[in-house]
Amino acid sequence: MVKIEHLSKTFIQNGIEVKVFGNINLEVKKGEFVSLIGASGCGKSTLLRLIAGLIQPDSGTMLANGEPITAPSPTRGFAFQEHALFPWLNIYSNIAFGLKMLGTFKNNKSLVNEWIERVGLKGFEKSFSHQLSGGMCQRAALARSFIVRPDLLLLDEPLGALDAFTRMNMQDEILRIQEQEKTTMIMVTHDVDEAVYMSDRVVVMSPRPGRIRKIINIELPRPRSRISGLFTERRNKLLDILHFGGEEKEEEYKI
Amino acid sequence: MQHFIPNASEQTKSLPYFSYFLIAIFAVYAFFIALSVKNKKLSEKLKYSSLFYAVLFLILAVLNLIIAKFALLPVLYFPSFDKILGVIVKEHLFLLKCVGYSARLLAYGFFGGAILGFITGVSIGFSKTMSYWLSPVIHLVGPMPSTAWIPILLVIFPTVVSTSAVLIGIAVWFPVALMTASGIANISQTYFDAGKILGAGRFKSILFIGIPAAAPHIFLGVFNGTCMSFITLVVAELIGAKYGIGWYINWQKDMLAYANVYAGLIIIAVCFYLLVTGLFKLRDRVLTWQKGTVKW
Repeated sequence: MVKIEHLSKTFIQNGIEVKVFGNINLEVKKGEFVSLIGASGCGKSTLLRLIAGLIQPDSGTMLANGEPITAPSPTRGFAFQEHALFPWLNIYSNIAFGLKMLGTFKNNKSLVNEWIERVGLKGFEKSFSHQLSGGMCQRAALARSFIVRPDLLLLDEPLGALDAFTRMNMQDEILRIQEQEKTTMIMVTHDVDEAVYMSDRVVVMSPRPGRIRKIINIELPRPRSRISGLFTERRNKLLDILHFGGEEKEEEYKI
Repeated sequence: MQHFIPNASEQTKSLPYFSYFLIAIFAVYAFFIALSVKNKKLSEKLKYSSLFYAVLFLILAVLNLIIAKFALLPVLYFPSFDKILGVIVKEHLFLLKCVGYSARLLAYGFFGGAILGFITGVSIGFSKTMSYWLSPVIHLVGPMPSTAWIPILLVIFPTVVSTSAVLIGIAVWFPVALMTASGIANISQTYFDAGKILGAGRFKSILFIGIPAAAPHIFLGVFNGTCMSFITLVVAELIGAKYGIGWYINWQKDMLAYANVYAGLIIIAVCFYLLVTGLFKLRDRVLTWQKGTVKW
């Protein structure tokens, strides 16, 4: 689905070159849910924006479905940190935006209503984003992304701004839609629980320069329980790798 | 009910127009009071504004006493309300012609300037090349009072009408262009990214993201432009117009016909008030989405 080889990216900040990462290799299979986790500055968001085609790499290759990634495409959706709904459009028009841009809105009007219902926003079609809660906005944003049927959805901490309960509900909601749509997902997160709960694989990145430190398979059956012993065990090990386990260790761990 | 106060103060009258005016106002007010018996919202509104109208008509009554009844101020410069209203009634056709003439000038200048300003602003906002060449022009030429161009425009343009229209156009162009460009520059990149992801190309990004997102700024520019256009209109009519409300006021001032000057001022106030109110209504419709709208 996505294949990244020898990817490097440098930003110029105040005239100084800052190397985000030098040599990233990553392969994501179709239908897989992969999380990118790591301290800030490790380049996870940059990696996501590169895959989206919003920015260009300095060198290396990126393939999506075998095609090189050169520009943004509706086949690769993107869920932004702050929902990024257009405040001047109501919820209905926001969700329909992608279809309108592709010119397929007129033949797909029922699809808009279908998605409004699927994310539980029936009755809020005419509302504007500032009139809704953060969770509702993020649901609308998900519907806006999913409606154009992307093969791949890139999530840049989409739940970061939500409170804990809304966040857990949204995690389930995203997983439910993913299961129905079979969308490949790559998600940036700061939340270890979220990564373990949602992902098939967790990519642990470390900063300066950004690199992939470890890729961990989470082989727990779905739906997962947040309180099971196996879940906690994996979460603790991941925390350990991220050096939040209490003592500093640089050993290899097998989960 | 408050109108009993002004009504009481019109015992002495030389010309009856002010009385007519008060009677008409009283009739209108009575009509609204009658309506408000059944309409609760209207009744609340009337109650809220009753104090304002009471004081307003009290002031008018006092002024009427000072000016008309006791002639405490120079009569030449302070004609009675009866006289002023009399001008409006007697010369209404001529005044209407003047208003029409001014409106035509304002329409040419305002729409020309606003459309050009919008195009300039959008070009600067979205094209680096345009920004490179046009920004300095805007910043250099824009702040100049457009009236400073009068001597040059009079030479370039063949008629007084075109000169005046261009003058108003320049006055409107600058604030609209500046605010449009700044509105676009202030749009969060995330919106454009979201648009790109959803398949919006460059043109669609401008049309469906840039312009709506910048609309609040654009409206601010249009409001500034409107105010500038009013100022410029009155000045523009001094440079040799044949009709027009600004010209009328100046002409009557030279004739020392101050009743006519006041009549002209009242008409200008009412016209501009209506225009600005219309613009507010339009803005409220277009910008319903705005959170915590700037109140005017």
